[in-house]
Amino acid sequence: MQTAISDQQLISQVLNGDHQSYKVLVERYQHYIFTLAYRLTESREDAEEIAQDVFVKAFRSLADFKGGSKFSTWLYTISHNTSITLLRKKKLKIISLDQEGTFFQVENQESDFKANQMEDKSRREMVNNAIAMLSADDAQIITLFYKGDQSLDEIGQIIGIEPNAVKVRLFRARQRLKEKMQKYFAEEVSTLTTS
Amino acid sequence: MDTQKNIEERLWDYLNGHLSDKESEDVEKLLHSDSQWQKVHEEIISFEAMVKSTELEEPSMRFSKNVMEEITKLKIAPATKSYINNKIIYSIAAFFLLIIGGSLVYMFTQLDYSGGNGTGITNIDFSKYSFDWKQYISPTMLNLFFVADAVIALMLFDRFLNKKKREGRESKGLV
Repeated sequence: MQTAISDQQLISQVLNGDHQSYKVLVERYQHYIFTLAYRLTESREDAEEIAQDVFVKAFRSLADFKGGSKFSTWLYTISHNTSITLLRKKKLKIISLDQEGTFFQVENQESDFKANQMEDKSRREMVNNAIAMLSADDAQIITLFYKGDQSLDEIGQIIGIEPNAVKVRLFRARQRLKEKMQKYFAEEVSTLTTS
Repeated sequence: MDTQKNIEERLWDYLNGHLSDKESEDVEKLLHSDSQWQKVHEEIISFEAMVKSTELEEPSMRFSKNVMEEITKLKIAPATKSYINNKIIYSIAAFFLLIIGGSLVYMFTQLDYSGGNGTGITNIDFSKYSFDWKQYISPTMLNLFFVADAVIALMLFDRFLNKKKREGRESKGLV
């Protein structure tokens, strides 16, 4: 991603007292942070609260960012930890649609959904819906890898596991996403792949 | 013969640059010669393109304004390194090392190496220490101490085994 001012330059400006430069960083990463939190909570209000908390915490600790990793990796690590802490505090259950009961519910919802609105769905919405049907862990790892431009090592650093375990989890998450897409959006997938 | 899953795994590794040069060459050869590999390759390319094309969720319009309003009330905390003084940490470490070292030196100077059973330990004159241990250490007390130790050891061992098991399951891809 080509950006006019690098993250590191913006951080230096903020540390030198130009707090308005932080707005650029917020706007640059707000969608990523919000999406990661939303994938974990499935609630826009909670995701927004988490995302705001992440940027506030990052601002306060900015002097501790030494540039040893990408700023995005550092920010996603704060986001992951904040999400987990807030979920524990609120005793919210991390959404996992792979659980049998919930899965059945979604299946029924999806049948209606498929019948009525499937034809109007765009490719992006279809993939987003399939990601939303994954467990929170799978959705998070897919988002970090494909949308957050994070390597296996960086994802390992963010969620606190070994890169090899990340690789295995990512492979399984992709498999499950593919299965969901084939099961619920088969018609659209075939249209898209043949077009 | 390769299963679909094995082919996918290797192709994903190939596409994400996780294979060595030799392994990549092998995959490329298979992609030229094997129709099953070609089919799976096309599927993965189209799958990855679809996933990459997804849009991120949008926070509310006021999100960045809310964050900026929030941070105007705050100050950036000084870097952790600036307020943790290494000299204090080293001083504390030196203090404890000195205490341990001093105790050991004192203990060894009290030993009588000249006779006894060869260890010299039995020649230490404990009578000059007025502290009455028997007042505090009874058989019941010792039993309770050992039981508590055993319970703590078992808990730590259980935690250690669970951690190992979880890591093992993750590396095998069972979680």
